[in-house]
Amino acid sequence: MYAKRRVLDGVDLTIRPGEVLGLVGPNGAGKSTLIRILSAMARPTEGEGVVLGRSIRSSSSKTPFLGMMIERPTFIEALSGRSNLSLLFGIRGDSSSGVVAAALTKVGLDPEDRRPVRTYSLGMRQRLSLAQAIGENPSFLVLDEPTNGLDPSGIIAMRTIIRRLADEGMGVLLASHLLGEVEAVCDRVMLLKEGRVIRTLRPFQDDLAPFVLLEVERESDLALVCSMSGVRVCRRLGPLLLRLELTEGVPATVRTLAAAGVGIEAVYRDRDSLERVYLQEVANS
Amino acid sequence: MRFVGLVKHELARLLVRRRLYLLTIGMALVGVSGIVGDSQGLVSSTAGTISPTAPMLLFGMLDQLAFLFILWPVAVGGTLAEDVGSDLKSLLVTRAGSRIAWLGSKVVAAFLTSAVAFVALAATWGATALIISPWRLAGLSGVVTFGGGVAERHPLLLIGFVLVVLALAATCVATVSSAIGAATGSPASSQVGASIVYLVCIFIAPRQFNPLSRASMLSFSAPWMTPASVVWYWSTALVLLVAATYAVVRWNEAR
Repeated sequence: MYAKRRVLDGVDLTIRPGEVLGLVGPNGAGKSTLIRILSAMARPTEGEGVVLGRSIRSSSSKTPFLGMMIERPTFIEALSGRSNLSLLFGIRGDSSSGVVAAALTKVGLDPEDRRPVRTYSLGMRQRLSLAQAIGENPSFLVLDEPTNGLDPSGIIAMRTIIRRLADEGMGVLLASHLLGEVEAVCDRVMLLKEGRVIRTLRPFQDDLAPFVLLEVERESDLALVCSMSGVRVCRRLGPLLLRLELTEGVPATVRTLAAAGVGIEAVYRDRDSLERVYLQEVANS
Repeated sequence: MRFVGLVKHELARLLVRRRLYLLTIGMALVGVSGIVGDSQGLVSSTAGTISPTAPMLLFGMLDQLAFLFILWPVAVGGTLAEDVGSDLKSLLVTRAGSRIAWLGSKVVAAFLTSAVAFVALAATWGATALIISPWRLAGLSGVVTFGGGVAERHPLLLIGFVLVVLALAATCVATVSSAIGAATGSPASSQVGASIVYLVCIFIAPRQFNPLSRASMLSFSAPWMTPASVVWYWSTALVLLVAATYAVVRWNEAR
């Protein structure tokens, strides 16, 4: 409850070591509140949960150590990125120059760069923020909009880093509005709306419906294809392009089409995008 | 180890603030001009009216410091509001492993910064006073009524005590800014708010509990104004303020 409003309701999630869980939802869906609860910065009024051995209902002053990349990274502006990391890592004890340099190198920042953080671009700040989050090898990482302000190469690098960390056994919670990024990097995605989980899906498995893009030779073939028995959903995307959801396998359907005299120019196999599912289930619901 | 690391981080944040140095220099200049002005006049002592000596000028200005640091929260306050407003709090608290350590680091860093700044002020004012007047301790106890005859026998000890008390008082004012910042998340309003709270307390609090009389103690004469009671007053105020700030932090998290 926040200001007498139920911000999260019935959210049930488990993040295992080595797994990247995406958190997607419109503004006000409860993503930030969920992150605050997981990082022990807010206490839920009801419910149970354990993060790295600590109950989320605990009223103790103590907090677990998570790697956290927050949406608005704040650093000591007059100091270099290296000095900032050295001070932050120094809190837990290991601020040796090797550890700091390794963290900076991992995110593509120059460890020898002595410029103050106030001269950094937004992308460099994001990288520095990621470096502070992963530099001390936490077992659980929370990333809130990690690709904010990054250029395309930065986004690709960020994706690679997140996957590598997960492959090394780190559990990752990733909240982002960039659905393509979430789809590319997450093992599971949780769609959140008005504090409720409305769907959890696995982008790399069959949770996103497969479909076929079919390009035919003649316009007269379009109606014929859509009326065939193996075609469950048929939608025209272009002059000669159809999007089909099939009840049978693709090879069998192609054979049937050819036998019926349909001129096939090309067939592409694809699956639903997270964006489409999001639009269907979150934006339009 | 974690607490030391937190204090270092907090000190780094305070020591890179230009306003800390500007305010300290401003206070130093006000003090220097005050000493120059006071040196032209006479001081009323239990022995009558006399020309001020260097220690008298210095102690007189140290007595004014409690009013001069009314803007001190701008120099050493507001970091808790910055943490809350920017979510830096989560990075620091999860590293510290405890909110109490995080809060404590702010108190210790504000105290250390204030103490060093006030020592620098005292040194500047002492040097100025020495240039203008001779260093003569005789008759000092007639002007400085606090602490018995310590002023004449061990003036540096008394100066050290006063500076520690003043740093404690400045830390209290900075902690007021932390309490306001925990509720608002706004550094500016927490700093200005703390100065206003200090000012209001100066005007409305009864003499025995008035922060100004408890901080400008050297010229104050009352049976209850003893070194022990001054330390007790500021220590209790600090403990209560830290507890209040912690309560506001937790309340903000739970609502």
